[in-house]
Amino acid sequence: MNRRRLEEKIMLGVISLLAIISAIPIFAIIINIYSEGLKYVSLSFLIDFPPPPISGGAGGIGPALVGSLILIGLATVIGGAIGFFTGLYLSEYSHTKLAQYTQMFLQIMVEFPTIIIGLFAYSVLVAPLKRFNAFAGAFALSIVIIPYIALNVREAYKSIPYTLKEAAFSLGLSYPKVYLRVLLSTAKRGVLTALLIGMAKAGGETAPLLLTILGTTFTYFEGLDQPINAIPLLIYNFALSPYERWHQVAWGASAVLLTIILTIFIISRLVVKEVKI
Amino acid sequence: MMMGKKLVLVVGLILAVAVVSLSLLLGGGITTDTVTTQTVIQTVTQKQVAGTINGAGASFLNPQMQAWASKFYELTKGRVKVNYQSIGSGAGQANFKEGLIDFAGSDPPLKKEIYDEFQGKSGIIQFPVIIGTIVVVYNIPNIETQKLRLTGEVIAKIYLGEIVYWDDPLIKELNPDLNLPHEKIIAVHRSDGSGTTRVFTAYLSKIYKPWKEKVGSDFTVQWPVDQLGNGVGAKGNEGVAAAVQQNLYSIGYVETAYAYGSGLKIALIRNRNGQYVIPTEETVKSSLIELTKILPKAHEDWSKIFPDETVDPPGLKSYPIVSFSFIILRQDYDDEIKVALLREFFTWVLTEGQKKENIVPGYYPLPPEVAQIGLEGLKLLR
Repeated sequence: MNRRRLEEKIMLGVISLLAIISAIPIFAIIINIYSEGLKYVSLSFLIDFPPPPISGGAGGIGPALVGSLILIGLATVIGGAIGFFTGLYLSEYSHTKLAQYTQMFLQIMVEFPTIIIGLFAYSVLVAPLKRFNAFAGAFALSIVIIPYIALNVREAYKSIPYTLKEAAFSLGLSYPKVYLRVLLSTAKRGVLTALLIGMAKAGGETAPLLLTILGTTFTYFEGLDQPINAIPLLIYNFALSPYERWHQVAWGASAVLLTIILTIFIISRLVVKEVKI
Repeated sequence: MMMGKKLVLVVGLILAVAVVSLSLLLGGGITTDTVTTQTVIQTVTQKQVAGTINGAGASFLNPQMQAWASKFYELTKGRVKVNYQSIGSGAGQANFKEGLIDFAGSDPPLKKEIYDEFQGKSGIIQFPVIIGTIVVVYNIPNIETQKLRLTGEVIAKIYLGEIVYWDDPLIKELNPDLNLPHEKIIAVHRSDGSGTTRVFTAYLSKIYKPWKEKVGSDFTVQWPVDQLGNGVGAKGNEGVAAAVQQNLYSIGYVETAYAYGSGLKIALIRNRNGQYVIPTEETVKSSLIELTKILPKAHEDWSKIFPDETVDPPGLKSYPIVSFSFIILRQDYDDEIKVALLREFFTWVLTEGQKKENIVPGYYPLPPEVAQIGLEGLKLLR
């Protein structure tokens, strides 16, 4: 008896320790990024153009920040619309062959290397239009996030008790009313979380942007058919340079990006707190 | 039942399409706005045009381009926006070929195939805008910077794997005063396709025949030292600089700005006249005196001359691994505003832009004769 207790205790201890260890990197990253980057962040840092490497002012990440917000917004709208209805279909018509195959493909897509999606966007939206453009970037990002949104929306709808659906249909409501009014009001937290996860994913991706948006220095937004910048792309370019000032901008930009992503996650946590039926 | 299914699908599809087209419309609206503002400014300042030109290419050129673009943005009060993105010379040339960018920056001039393709079509203008140098860097704890002396032949033999240890007689002979360690040399090189590698290997090919026969010169080459397990590949100038910093007893080659930026030790290299030199204003100037006589015109093919003929130039104090960075333009653009912007910006780059206050440390300005090549070339722009 005693020995069993001891074994249990040891086991629990080891597992808890491992759990703590696996959570350490996230804290290490947050502390590292903020301690290195926060000191460069100011209002003008959020607005100004990126600086030249040596002379001139301190500069900022204005075009990249604006670009990132536009790309996140657009990708969430496109990816959200498609992902939501796909998820709805997967949940409500899960018995159909189409739904089963779609779900399988979406699960593969989650694991897809995002650089390949960027290459795809390049070949269908950059090369034929003869210009790097913001829409190609948003398109690539929306493809990246569709499977995340669809699969999470599916979970949200799946979790609704069947009785509620039955009740709604028994009132003689039409399908759109049942799915988009009655059930959505129940599943909305789950759906919102799905969209927020998609947003965070879109905000942090670099690879799909490397081949699509080119990047800008002195322009915030000149149309969806023109190049645009994004924070991950700016970090990638500046962190690799030999100049101290560009490294500082990259650190500051990392702190801003991390703040955006953490904010989205905190909102999604608050949303999820409790699902009331 | 079937009706309902279809309805959900159709509604979904319509919504998705509506959302996408709405967002496109929104973007389209804003684009028109920019165009109208551009024309307004155009009429106010008469001949002067406003707008953005997009370029991409060589990472080596990037810091200098950003300095120029930023200065020019200030000078024109935001009228001319030059957007240059560092994606590498190879990618820059490829994107230029596809017509995705207005101009390309490249360490080597345009490849022969691409140059030929543009002949009879929109034509090519290519000219040097800045001079760079490649330095050999090392990491030996007890040897200070600018103390180690090397020759092209010894460097070639290290990368061939024929010289394995730092205290090899061939290195000792050049450095009788240094206490060289009996340690294996880790030879760091670029793993990605790179203009720096192209120029560096052109130098080794020119100076040491066996290198030319066994390895040759290209954006990427098969490094014999890798087969012996003493080679390390790294991505980008910054990657090589980092690899040399992290590996004791290593050697590498980087663009000068990266060597200074990361505080690496720089080797003295023997030039044609037996002088041991590092890049300075004086040694680079000396390298360029003879070089300028053999350079082609902006509309001609440069690929034969550069870098194979331009490395290891004559001149008493010449630094041997000098390199140009090129700007590549088409002769024909179907957009008049772009032509005016390109002409205005690059004319400034080749004149005012070459003044000391506009040059980033680690780069060297063009001699007036070389800048003239570009200025002549810009006349072909239409």
